[in-house]
Amino acid sequence: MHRQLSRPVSAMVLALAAGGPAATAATPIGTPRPADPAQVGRALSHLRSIQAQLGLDGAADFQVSHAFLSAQGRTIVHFNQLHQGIPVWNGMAIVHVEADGTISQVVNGLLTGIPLTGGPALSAAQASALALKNLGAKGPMPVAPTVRTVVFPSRRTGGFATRPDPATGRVALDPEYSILAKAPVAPFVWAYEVKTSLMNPRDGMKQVAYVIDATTGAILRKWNDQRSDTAAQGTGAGLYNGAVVLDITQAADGTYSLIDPSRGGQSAPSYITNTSGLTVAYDYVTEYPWGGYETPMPYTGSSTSAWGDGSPFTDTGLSFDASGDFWWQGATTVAGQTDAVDALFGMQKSWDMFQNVFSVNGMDNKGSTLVALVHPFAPTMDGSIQPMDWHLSFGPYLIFGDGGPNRGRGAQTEIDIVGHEMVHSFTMAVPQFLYQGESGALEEATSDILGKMVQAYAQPGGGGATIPDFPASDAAGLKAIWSFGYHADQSPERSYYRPSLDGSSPDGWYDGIGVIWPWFSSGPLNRMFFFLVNGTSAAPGDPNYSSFLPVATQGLGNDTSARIWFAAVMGFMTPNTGLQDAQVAAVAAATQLYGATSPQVAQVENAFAAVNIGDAPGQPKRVKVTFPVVNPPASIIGQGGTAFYPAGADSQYQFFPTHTPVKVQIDVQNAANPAVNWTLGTPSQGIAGGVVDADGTWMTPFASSGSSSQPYILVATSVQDPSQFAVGSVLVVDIDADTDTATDAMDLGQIAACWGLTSNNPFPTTGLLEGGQTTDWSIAMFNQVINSAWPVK
Amino acid sequence: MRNRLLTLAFSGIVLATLTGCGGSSYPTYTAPPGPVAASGLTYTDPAAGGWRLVKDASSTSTRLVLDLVGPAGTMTRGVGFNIKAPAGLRFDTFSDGMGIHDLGAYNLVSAAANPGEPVALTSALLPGNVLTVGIYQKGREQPAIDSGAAPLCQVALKLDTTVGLHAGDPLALSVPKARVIPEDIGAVTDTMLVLSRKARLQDISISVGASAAN
Repeated sequence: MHRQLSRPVSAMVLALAAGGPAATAATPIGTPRPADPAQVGRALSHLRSIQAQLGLDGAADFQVSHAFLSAQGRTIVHFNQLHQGIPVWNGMAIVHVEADGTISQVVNGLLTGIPLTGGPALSAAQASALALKNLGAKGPMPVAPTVRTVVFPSRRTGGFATRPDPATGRVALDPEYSILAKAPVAPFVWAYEVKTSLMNPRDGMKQVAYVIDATTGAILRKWNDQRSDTAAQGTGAGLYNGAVVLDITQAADGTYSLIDPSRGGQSAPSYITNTSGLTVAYDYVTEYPWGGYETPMPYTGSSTSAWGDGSPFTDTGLSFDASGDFWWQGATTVAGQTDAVDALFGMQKSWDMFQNVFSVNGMDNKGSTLVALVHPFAPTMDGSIQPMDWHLSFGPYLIFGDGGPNRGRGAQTEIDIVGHEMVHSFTMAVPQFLYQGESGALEEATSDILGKMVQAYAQPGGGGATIPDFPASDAAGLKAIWSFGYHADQSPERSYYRPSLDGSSPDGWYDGIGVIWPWFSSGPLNRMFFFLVNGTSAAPGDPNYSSFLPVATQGLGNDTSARIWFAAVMGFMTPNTGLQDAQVAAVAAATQLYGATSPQVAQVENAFAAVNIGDAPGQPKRVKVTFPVVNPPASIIGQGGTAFYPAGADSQYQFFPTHTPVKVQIDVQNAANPAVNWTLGTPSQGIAGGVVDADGTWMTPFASSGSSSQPYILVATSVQDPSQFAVGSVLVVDIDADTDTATDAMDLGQIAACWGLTSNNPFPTTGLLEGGQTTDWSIAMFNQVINSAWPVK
Repeated sequence: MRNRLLTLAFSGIVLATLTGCGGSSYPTYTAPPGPVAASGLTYTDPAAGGWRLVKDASSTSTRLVLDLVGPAGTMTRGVGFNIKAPAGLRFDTFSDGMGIHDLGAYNLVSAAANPGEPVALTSALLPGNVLTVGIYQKGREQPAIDSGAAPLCQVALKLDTTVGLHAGDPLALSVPKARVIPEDIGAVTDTMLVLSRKARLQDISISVGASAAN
């Protein structure tokens, strides 16, 4: 029997065992054990028995996506949600089964209220063709797109991606991965999820995913899905790791390969050949320019088991063979092998940490192999051949660029970077975080956190069943250790102790953080982990000082902290988990491991409070500024996306008519003085928004020429505590649909008169944000806008 | 001491003299009753015929409910209007929180009748104590209705007791703007040119009766 806690924020419900096993300190067990099918069966039976309680009807069912046996003997089973046998997009539940068979937890990330019947109108082939048309590939594709039918929640339609503007460093819209789509009226629709892969010099390496409406063929969502003979031992001289011992392969002919058969026995789908064992390869292009396939070429056939010389790789141009195939000159030389040594070393340490500390078989608990690609080619707009200077995860491939002194970067094979990319394989397999918004932040932060733990694990004296602490150091040393890619880049990519040092990442959570790129929104969680390990300080000059919690607390060290975070991600996080829910998950994980009143749980609360998430024990509640939910998720506005905003986030966006005195809504909690200062951003179209008065009154501007709407970023900062603020968006909409210069109920009449018209609509202003067609969405938007300005009291 | 005695004696003489008068020689004045504070509303329907607002039977002495009635035989697909109230009157809402109440004459849902679909029913309180309301059928799927067959919608008003009105004070309501969706708004397959002529709202005039505080 289990009971449920009231849920704080989003779709996660935690149930704590009324009679679960007593919490004990984590005991590493070493070799991973497979989950007992009987326990998995119990989890499935339980979920089916409570599905009505979870708000699901008879059309619902569950499919096991992952089963894990923890060191405590607990079986944790992840289920993907089904409706009429079809996967529900990002719907997931997690069930914890104790060793004695009792159910102790149910983590609910399920989607309810699915009235769908029937099936798709379009075929999978048609959906694939629509995706490929949008993809616009210039070169060949290594594999055909994968297509699966899904039940798609309309509120996840649309969405925009951001990327740093290289000129200003600020967050800017990414037009390639932004979709200007309007959500279907129905709350759920049949759809196809299409995943494409590109790997050629013209297109570079891309993995672009789509959701295609299976009735209309509209692209509902688009995102960058990209996030990597006989066993022998060799030695290597890495640039970052120095002299290392590597598990490699010796072939029957006596030659050696940088392939580790002892790790990754399950081959993962590979684009060229089936690969078994962790492998390092260099980038190689065949049949260019007519074909232009990129082919990872493993390091094989060496007469010696010693690899690399520890020196940096120097880009001296391309090497060609007689058929026109090419690769980076020197990639196969001893110097070129240096990056390969560091890559394989990092992969092996990551693998071993997951196995020996977390009891996970490989990064996905299935032992799937991974391939590291060094000396890769970068995609360019003009088709020129350029080296890559960054790192990424690309399905089973982990790509590590060469950097280059001109670009201020060294080889991207420093061990925390390699660990970071390896961990993406884990998060993509198990919690399957949606790579947008706050869940995207969780994906990046988990890679940063556990990647840094790989660095700790690989220290001399490490490699066993625990993760050693970093050596004691002064403040300068602490800063060096707790920077991501400290040696690889002239300016470290990210700082754990002070994320804002990169100029883009926040040091603490705020309402609205999900709109920035996951690389940056992950900052608070990285910082949380730094505090979890090292504690906090009361001295403002210390690296572990936080204004959100300006007191001294005791850190837990690397091993305990890593176990808590792993358990939180493995056992309590689903695709849509956000930062507030992450705190709940971490507390639940620490409770499960150490007990509710343990100092470990207290330090988890301290660490999160130090980044403005939740409260520390005994700490007075901080002022909290949030934009209210004005469009409930069940409303037509709350379901869909507009042309400018991430799908599902419309619940907080406020819509106002143009040129009207309105009052912006804001919630301020725990403040004797609830006043805020407003800052109105300049929109991209350049129409200044004016000034929002202290009480929230605002004379909205006219829409820009040629546009019926205008978005504005709005920041509300607490007067009582300026460290507390919220970032939101408002959309100013011209609802004078009959263009008589007066905004009133007659405008809705004109919309109604044009309802159902599309390309022959002579009154395009009736399609509010619909671009000429007029549907129920315009009707709902009209009422939302007019009532926000002039409610009938 | 002597002067004080004389003063007292004189007063007594005066009093005795006044008391001794047998009748009054001064007119009495009775102040008229003061204005009575208003506690309710009255409304007299306008003349029959045409578009008009008539008092609904559900009205009370303190809450005036007005029905919109159209001319018999006039086919429409919806109607909207602005009604202006003077100081002393404030618009009231109905149980759903809206300033307009649908009486079921129009078919507001689409032919598909999707659960939870939004309907074209709106109310808002514009500056100047103007209630703007509208009730419309969506598109062309449902047939137009006879606007005179039954009341179409309602609005409600209450006395604003903070204004300090007196019984008998007139409360002039007006409808400065009103439009209907006519029956013929073209077909969904018509050309843009045809629709530009047909798919337009038409002006109407709505008569309002006399209302007063009482």
